[in-house]
Amino acid sequence: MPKVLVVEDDQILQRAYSTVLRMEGFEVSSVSDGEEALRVAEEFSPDVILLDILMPNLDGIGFLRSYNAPEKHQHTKIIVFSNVSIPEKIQQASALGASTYMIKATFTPKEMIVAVKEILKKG
Amino acid sequence: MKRCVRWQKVSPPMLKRLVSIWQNYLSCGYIFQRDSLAEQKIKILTSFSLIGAGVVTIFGLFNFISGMKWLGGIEVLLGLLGIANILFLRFSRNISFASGVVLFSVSVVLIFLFITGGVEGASLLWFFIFPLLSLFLAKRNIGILLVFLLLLLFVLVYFLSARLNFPMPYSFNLIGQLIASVSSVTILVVFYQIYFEQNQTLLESYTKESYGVNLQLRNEIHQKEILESRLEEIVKQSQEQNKILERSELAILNILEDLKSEKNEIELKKAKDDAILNSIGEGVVVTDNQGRVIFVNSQVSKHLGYTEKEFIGKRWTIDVPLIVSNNGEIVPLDERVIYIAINTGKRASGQYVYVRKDSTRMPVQITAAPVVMNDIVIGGVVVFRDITKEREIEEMKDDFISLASHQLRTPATGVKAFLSMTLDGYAGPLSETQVDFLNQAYSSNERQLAIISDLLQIARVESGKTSLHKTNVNVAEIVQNCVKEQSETIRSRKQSIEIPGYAEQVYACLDVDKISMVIDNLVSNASKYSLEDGRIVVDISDLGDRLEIRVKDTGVGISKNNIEKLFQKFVRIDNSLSSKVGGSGLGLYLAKKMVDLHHGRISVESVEGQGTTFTVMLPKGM
Repeated sequence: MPKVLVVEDDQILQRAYSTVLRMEGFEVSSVSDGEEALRVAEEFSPDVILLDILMPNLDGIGFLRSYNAPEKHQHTKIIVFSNVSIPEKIQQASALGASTYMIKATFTPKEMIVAVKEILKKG
Repeated sequence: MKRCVRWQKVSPPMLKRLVSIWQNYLSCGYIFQRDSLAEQKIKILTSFSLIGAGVVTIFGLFNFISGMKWLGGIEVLLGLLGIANILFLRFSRNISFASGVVLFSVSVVLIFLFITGGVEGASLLWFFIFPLLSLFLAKRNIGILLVFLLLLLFVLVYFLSARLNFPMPYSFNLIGQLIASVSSVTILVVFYQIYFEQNQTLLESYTKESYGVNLQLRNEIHQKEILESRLEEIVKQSQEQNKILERSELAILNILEDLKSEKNEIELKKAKDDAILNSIGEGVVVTDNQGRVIFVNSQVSKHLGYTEKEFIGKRWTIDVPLIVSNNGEIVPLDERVIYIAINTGKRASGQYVYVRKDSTRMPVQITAAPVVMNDIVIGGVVVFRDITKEREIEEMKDDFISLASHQLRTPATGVKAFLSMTLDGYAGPLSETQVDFLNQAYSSNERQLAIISDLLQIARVESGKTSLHKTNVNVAEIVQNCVKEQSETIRSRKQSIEIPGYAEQVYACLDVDKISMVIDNLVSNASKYSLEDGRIVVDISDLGDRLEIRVKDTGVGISKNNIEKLFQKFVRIDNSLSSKVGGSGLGLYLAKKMVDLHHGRISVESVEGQGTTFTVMLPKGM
């Protein structure tokens, strides 16, 4: 059962994504900011992290920098799922190890599931 | 002159002329003054002959009537000869001949009187006039000779007559007395004549002298009169000129007064203008047609840190650097707005940054306009405004829009998430009505998200934060993908879409996302503003170093008035479908911005009721 960590400060969205993921058979853990995510990710060791960018305490970019997926967590895939559509942020996220960058507003939860499944399939 | 005028008034011209003739011909004084000796003789002889001939003729007539036929006849003949002689003298002026004629006539009379006798002594008395005449009329020696010859002839005739028994009635003594008397008279006359001539010469020289002096005096008087009249004229003229001058002076004074008041007015106006120019917030710079500063208002100094004096005469385009706001590059001369205004004669404007004297920078909105006189550009005016505050506000606005968009996006995304989850069946099965209602909510939510997205884009574009991420791509593929995404919606509206250049490969260096956004927008509009059975054609043309994408529809079209407004922000065109079709009025504005970023051009042609064609020209940028 693949594990997905949902990092989302908006409680409604967090609930929506985790609900759908659970219903699709994923093991889900949800957190509301980057700091919490760093802590939880260590014990939960997710296969996929669904990461928001704009968050309190530590934002998505800060998380990516500390988490350092390319070197420390090579098995974890990170999908940035944010409403920030600034190209610089997208590039930054990509450079820090994010596999995909998706604009939240343009995807339904179901489409998000498709993306998660696809990335897991790729390995 | 005045005397002359008076004379003419008083004397009748006829009388004056008669006096003049009298003076000319008869007055001795006049003759001496004016005429030569010969001329004098002619006149005296003429006068003498007139009297003499008249008297002789009258005597002749009386003698003839009283019976002395011979004497009377000769006298009349001689009188007539005298008159003829006067006429001859009058026209020939030959004094010698005329004198001869007179002497001859008198000799004849004397001889006749002598021969015929008559009253003793009385006849002989006539002899005494001969020396007078001959000495007067002939030259002196000839006169003496003539007297001598006459006496000789007289003596001869006397003695001959005695011998020829034709004795004359004169005694020998009488003859001797006569000869002695005539000789004495002759001598006396000669002496008198010599004395007279001497005096005459003296007189003449005096006369000549005095005449000369007189002439000179007359001349001088004449000259003086001329001078006087000239002087008078000059005085008159100068008086007139004086009057003119006085009038001119008055006129000049008036003009000066006018000028003074005008100057005052101008000064007042200038002071007002200066006050206005200095009190307005904008910096105003006036240059000549070479860009040299003629005037700056106080704001210019205040803003840029130079004194007004430091500016005058400087080349605004060279000595006051201007930089491009974004990257700090110095604006080249031929792109400076003032340069453009002066050289093209058209207004130019833009947002730039001035570098102050202390090297700090000031963002400005600059407008430059040419100063045109008689169709010739004689200078330029630069008006600039400090837009630091506006920039700050703009940045705040950008930040606000950006933040607001995010804050708006998140709850809308939440709505989308739960609506789609419900529609996707995660909340269990739905009735048809429930699906329909939820779909309505979903599409409304989608529109809201689209507008938020557009606003975000605009905020970025307008703040100049949008940059292009160009890659080398096949434009046909981009078009294809865009069409594919919307094909379902188009089909649901029972419209058709085709791409004739589907298989073509037109490569260009573009920002895929942004060009996709443009094509999406155009295709979506084409569909939205077409009715059922509408046909959409997306055409791609390779034009060498550039390419064209044409999106053609058979929709409702756009009116001419609206075409101009089409690419403006928040403009939505009214037509039969606009109320049904949702939109923010941002799509085409953004599309144009994106095309502009690629240095391309977007244009539109439309016929109302027949359809619209949008053409996007893009440089390949390879």
